[in-house]
Amino acid sequence: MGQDPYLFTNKMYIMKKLFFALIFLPLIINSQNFKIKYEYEVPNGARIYYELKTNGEYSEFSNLMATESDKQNVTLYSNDKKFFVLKDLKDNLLISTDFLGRKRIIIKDSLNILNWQLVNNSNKTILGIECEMAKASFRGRNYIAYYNPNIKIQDGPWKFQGLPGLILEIYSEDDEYRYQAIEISKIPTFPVQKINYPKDNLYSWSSFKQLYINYVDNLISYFKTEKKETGFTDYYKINKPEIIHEKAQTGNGIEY
Amino acid sequence: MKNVFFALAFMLVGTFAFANTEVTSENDLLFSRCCEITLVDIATCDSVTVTACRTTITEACDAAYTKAKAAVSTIGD
Repeated sequence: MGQDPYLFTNKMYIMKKLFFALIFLPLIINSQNFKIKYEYEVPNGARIYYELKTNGEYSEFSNLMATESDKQNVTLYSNDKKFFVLKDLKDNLLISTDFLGRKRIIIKDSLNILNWQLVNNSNKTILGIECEMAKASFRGRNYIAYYNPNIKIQDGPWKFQGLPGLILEIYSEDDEYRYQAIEISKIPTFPVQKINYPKDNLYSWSSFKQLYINYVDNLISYFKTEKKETGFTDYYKINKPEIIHEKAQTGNGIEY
Repeated sequence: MKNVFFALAFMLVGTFAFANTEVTSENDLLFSRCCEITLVDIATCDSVTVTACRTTITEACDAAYTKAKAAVSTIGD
């Protein structure tokens, strides 16, 4: 009696699946490639979801989606250009994006911008993972972070990194900005983008800062010239985690 | 006598005019309406908030929205 051709094809299919599973399963299990989904909360009530893909040496942080605020006077708008934060831990390189109105600026930083202070006996469980506490000051705000030392990846959301483990939660002490991990999964691999921007297109943090201050000052001058004599006082305020233009970012903002 | 009379009369008119201006200004402030508009970037969650006060809420919100929109759509150099 000859072999049933259907059974033979089915067996081949299972064998093929098993073969690939055996080849790739150890890669998945031992992989240090993680995908973490973070929820980001800001004072105006809007929320953004971000994704961090990291292999321990290189990571990409980008936005997934945003949800509207419950407040009626808060409206979402979109810039045409993509937002991202790339970290190359081997080369100590941090590439991030920021915006001056609609213009996107690509900023080149080093990774040594955070000076962490580890805090003992202040653990917290996030997504069922035991995390330890650390504190740092970063560009005008104090932050509290929770990281897991068992996940040996010195990475985290946005520009945060440098702790002896993956950061799962971080918030500013004034409680204005908060990143919270809501999903974590191992991924097989992801393509690493070559960080190769022409020098002319990259700004250092200090040059971007100066550009930002000039931009805000010019905007206020323009508002002042545009404003008719109403007899009323108007205010312009920027809400941003990094304090660059202190007057525009604190209190009611700039009066014009 | 005539001069003294005119001087006093002008002073009296001036006093009333000054008092009247002050009352109008107070009324303006009493009836001002303020509006706060926040525009949030969906990629960074950075935002701008403009607060404008005008005599009506519509005027205030229009002024605040126009300025907030200008702040996020101007192309910075």
